[in-house]
Amino acid sequence: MDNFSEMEARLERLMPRGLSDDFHQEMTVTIDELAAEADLSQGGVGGVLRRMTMNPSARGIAAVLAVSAVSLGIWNGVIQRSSTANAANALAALHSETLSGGGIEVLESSVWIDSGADLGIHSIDEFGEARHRWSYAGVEEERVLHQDTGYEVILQREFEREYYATTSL
Amino acid sequence: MNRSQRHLGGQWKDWLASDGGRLLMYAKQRTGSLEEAEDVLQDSLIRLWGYQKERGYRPPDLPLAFSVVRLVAMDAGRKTGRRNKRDQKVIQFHDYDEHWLDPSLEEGEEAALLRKAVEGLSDKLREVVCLKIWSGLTFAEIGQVMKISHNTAASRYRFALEVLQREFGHLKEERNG
Repeated sequence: MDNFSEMEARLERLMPRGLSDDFHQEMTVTIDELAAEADLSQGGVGGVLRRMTMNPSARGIAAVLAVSAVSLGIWNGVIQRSSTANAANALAALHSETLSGGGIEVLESSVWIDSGADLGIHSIDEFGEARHRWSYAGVEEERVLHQDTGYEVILQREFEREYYATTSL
Repeated sequence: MNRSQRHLGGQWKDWLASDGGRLLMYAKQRTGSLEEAEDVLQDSLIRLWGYQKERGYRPPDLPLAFSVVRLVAMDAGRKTGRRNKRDQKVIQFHDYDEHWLDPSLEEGEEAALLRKAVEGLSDKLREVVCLKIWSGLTFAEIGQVMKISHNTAASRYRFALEVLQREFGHLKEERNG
């Protein structure tokens, strides 16, 4: 590639044209419109749940991200009749109790892999460094007991992960 | 608009300021005209916004953004039935205002010759050069965007540079008589 370094340098000097002022303004207005309509209540809950997954002390519940909730008793009725956002809000309340350290007992937890793929060897830079990558998709599931009410809730989170090992081309 | 929504809008505006120029240039490279490229980028923004909803609306990473721009551009080309016209436009990029490289920043006649050489590349080669040089993607990311292996992306890039060197040399010889 060294033979091409001069050519690459020449090409880099041909700078791309940026956005015109009018078009930039148009895009800004579009962003404002999208932001004004954004349902941040759902995104916000997601954010809370995602942060929980980073907290080792809450690892038991941290499997909750995309929530698929099935429960027993009244809780079941509430979840089934509610919108996803309401279910997420209810579970967010559950999580706030978890973070405060009381009221929730993990009864069972499991993880299973639904699919996997060998993604092969990929170069990560132009100096010959490479990694062998694999991807997995699966589900983390936990059955928890809300001690104050006696409700049992099953929490599921689908995940996709990539693993890699340093290798050579 | 509440405070959270304003904050979110600010994040996307920062993203636009950071990546908007190269995404527009890529869209222009795909569509052949600035007007169509702007439509494609705006449509891509709306689609990306929808895709990112489940990720808390955070601005997308670069490979995803380029992939969506590419798909939207392809879709636009099919819908309008202007693929052939577009290909001709790419070849006829000599209209000054249609240039997807900013002539105002060029230094001298050699830059103009190089630009001409770039415009003479085939679509596939020019796309790889565009994504590598001006968009800053790795070969792995280019592979993701173009649905090819990183090795193919690297090969195309090297071949494109070979062609550019050769054509650039020819053009300079012609200029010097």
